Amino acid sequence: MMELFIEFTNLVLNTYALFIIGFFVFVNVFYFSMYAISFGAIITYLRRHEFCDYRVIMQSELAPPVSILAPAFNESATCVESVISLLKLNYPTAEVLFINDGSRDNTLEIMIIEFDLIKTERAYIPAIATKEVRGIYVSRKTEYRNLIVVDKVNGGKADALNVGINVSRYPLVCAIDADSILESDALLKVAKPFLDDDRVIAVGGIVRIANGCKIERGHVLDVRLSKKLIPSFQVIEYYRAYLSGRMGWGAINGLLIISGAFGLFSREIVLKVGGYKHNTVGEDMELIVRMHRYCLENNIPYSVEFVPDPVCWTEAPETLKILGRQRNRWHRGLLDTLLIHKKMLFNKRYKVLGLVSVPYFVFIELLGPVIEAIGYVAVGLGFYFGMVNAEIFTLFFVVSVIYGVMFSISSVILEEISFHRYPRTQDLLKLLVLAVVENFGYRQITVWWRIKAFWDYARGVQSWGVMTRVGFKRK
Amino acid sequence: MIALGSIALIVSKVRAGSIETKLDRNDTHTRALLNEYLFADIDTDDVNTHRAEFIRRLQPYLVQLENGLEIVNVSRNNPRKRSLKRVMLQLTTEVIGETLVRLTHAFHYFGFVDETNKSLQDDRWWIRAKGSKNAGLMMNESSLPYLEKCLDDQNDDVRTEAAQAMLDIAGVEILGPILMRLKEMTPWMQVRLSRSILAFGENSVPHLVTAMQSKYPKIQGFSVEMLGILGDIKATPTLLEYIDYSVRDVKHKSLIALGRIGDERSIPVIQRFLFSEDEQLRVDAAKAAGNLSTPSMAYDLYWMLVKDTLKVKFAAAEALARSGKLGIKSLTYAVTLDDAEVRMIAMQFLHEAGLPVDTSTIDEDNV
Amino acid sequence: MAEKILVVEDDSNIEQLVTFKLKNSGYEVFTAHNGAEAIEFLKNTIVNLVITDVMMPIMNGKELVIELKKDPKNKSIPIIMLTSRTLEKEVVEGFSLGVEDYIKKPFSPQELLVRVKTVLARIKT
Repeated sequence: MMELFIEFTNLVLNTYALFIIGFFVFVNVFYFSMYAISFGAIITYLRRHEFCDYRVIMQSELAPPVSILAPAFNESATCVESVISLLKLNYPTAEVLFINDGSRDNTLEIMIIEFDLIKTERAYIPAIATKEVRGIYVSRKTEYRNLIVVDKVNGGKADALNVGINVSRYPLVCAIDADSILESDALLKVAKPFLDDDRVIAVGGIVRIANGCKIERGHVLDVRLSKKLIPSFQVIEYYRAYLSGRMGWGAINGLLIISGAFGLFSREIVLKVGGYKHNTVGEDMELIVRMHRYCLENNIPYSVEFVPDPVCWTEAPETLKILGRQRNRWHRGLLDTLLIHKKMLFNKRYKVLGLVSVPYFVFIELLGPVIEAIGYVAVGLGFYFGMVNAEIFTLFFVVSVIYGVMFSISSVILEEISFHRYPRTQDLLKLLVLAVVENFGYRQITVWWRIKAFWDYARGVQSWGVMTRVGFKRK
Repeated sequence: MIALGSIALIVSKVRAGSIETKLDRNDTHTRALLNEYLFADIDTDDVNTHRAEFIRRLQPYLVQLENGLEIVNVSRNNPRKRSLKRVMLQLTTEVIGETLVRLTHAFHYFGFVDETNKSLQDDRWWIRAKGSKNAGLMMNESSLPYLEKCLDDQNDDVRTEAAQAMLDIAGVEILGPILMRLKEMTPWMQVRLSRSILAFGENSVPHLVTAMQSKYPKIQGFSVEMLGILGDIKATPTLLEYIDYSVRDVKHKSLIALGRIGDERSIPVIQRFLFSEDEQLRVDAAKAAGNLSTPSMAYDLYWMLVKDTLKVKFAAAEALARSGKLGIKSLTYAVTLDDAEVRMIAMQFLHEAGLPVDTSTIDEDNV
Repeated sequence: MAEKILVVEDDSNIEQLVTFKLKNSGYEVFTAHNGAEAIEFLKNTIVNLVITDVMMPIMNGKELVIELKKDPKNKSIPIIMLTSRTLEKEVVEGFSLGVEDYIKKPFSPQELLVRVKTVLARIKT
């Protein structure tokens, strides 16, 4: 009996091992192609960058005006400073819409005093249904004439952004997180793709990790790597995700995620698809997928672009606990979005999206951690029953680590040849070392967080309200 | 392999650092010598009338600059020569007048113009694009024939840079020919060219009017938009003449332009478009009516506010708020209607116009 | 004694060009690369004129003007803005901040010199 069981387990494990190896080869070939595409796209970007001076936009009457949407929930400590730095961004015509999402602290009072606000009527079409708007305020001071403060009943980040989209008047809307730090040329850089091609409906930018950098008056002055380990690991993760991932997706028009921390959208299309969905934790990804779908289903020629220039900085979690919560939420958002749009999977109608992007997100991003975890369990079992050939296992392990390291380092190299934002050689050295270390421990923890997300998702379907608010206090 | 890659990266990083500081030092030195040339004291009263004489007098200072930089008979990739070209190209966008004349002459003297003209015929698009840009900065007429060929280039950027360079070199006179030659214009190209066109001011109006005869809607649209921004009433007759024959997007832009120009002659046409089948064009017409600030369309606008779609209602109300006393009166009356949506919109715009809603003053016969 | 001019400009091409031109004409010229450096410099030194760019990192030209006009010690220093931000509303905003003159880039160095002379002469009388 026992023998039969062992034989059976053996069969399962062997099959799984084959599957894992197949999966592994597939994933790596895929990653490699993505990297190659990204590399080509970045080279083209850099070549154009040499003679296209986006600052020309600054002096043009034809620059499309931008409404910046800054939702805030209990931000009394930082709201004034972040609004001032938003108002100072280089762009010819821009308005800043600060949306107070029913803060329980004195965010609104501080804003009223600091910017000398008065209540006003501003005509707008409530095209997207939202929670009630309590009032719209503008400043009495001329230097703040581009500021509009909207006070509304609490409804979560997506709802706040929807109010912003309703009230805004300009053809482009820029959604940002309350804690994003934008470079002063950020808007100019992400508005450029809208000018290169009038079919562009959304543009995302690179989000960088600000931990360890010197920040003053809303400007990143000195770019440094954090002394702490956890933010530094994330620097490499972000490099991988943005430079060798999203850049490539942008190039083949299959970009599914534009970070909620910074994205520029065509207001018209956002309105047509009905704005952000407010009962999901992944509202930023969900909106992009819906915009893609809308254009594909209505045969509107369109494109979603990605700008590899570092334009937005954000404070990354410094403790495992908070990072875990963030990753858990991201993964739940991914799962939710993919479930909502599951009919796109392998659907020819959705072109690159249905045949490449969505399958990639389902099988590699979403299920990848599960497959990896089962692998770890299988190896453990195999060792326990003495069925794993130690040599083959070691070989496989070494190869997989080397691949992982190679991709991380390639991303670091890509960054260094293109934008080289870390001026100090020792920071670069440290990044290279971390690219190796990351594979032992950190990577496994992130797998665990993402697996746990499935459990939380299944359990938490009823508790959306609570989760929305957690989503709001991102990071 | 990984290790090798990493080491190469580190080495290149360290080297890049030292090269950068060296470049900086090089450029500072170059600038110092170049400034000597740019501000060398020679009789400058007759730059425009006696250009040849002026340039003859510059000669010794150019030789002095060449000797100072030690770039006599060096290859074109000599770092000091690169530095000179870089600094000069950067400066040429910042200065005008006599200093610019000296700079352009120096471009020619050092062979940078020939080099650029050669790059305009290169196989690689980014070299052509960069060459076009440099040609514009160097302001040398010998580049014009090459640039003209680049107007038909496959690549958007090459076309944009070439058109811009031609305007920089030859001025407003070449605007018409460029626009008639182009088939396509990206918004980016429009942004680039718009700066020069607006700087030429009313001198560009006849060229833009000519360009409205282009076969290509993008070119028509751009010309119309520019005419609107320039706001010259000389453009009104042509805009009115063409509006019915153009595609929807150009109609849209024409209505906006007519609104911006604000010429009373366009009232009948705008009024006609208030009844267009196309929702967007009704919105545009309402906006244009608002810009004209005339009471003559208040009656039509009022009925649009009451009967049309939400988007048009909105535009009509905004226009009414700007259509003088009669407009305000119509809005005030609309506030008393049964339709909640109309009431809300009318109220919002009365508030926005800074007017208290006072329905007691309504004289119903007037509305 | 030569009159002192502070040039605030982040582009080293223009900085060097303007400095050269002004020094050639007998002024004593100091430089700063952004508003913050300029404020720091003005703590210890008195100048007769400030020429400033608008788009600069850390502290831009507009903020610099606002800061200077707030400070009783520095508020009487005449300021010339030298900038490529030439949309009409920008120019109006510049003057409303209280600058003495507004020069658009690209500029003529000869004209800059004349304007500097005019502004300094106007202040003296």
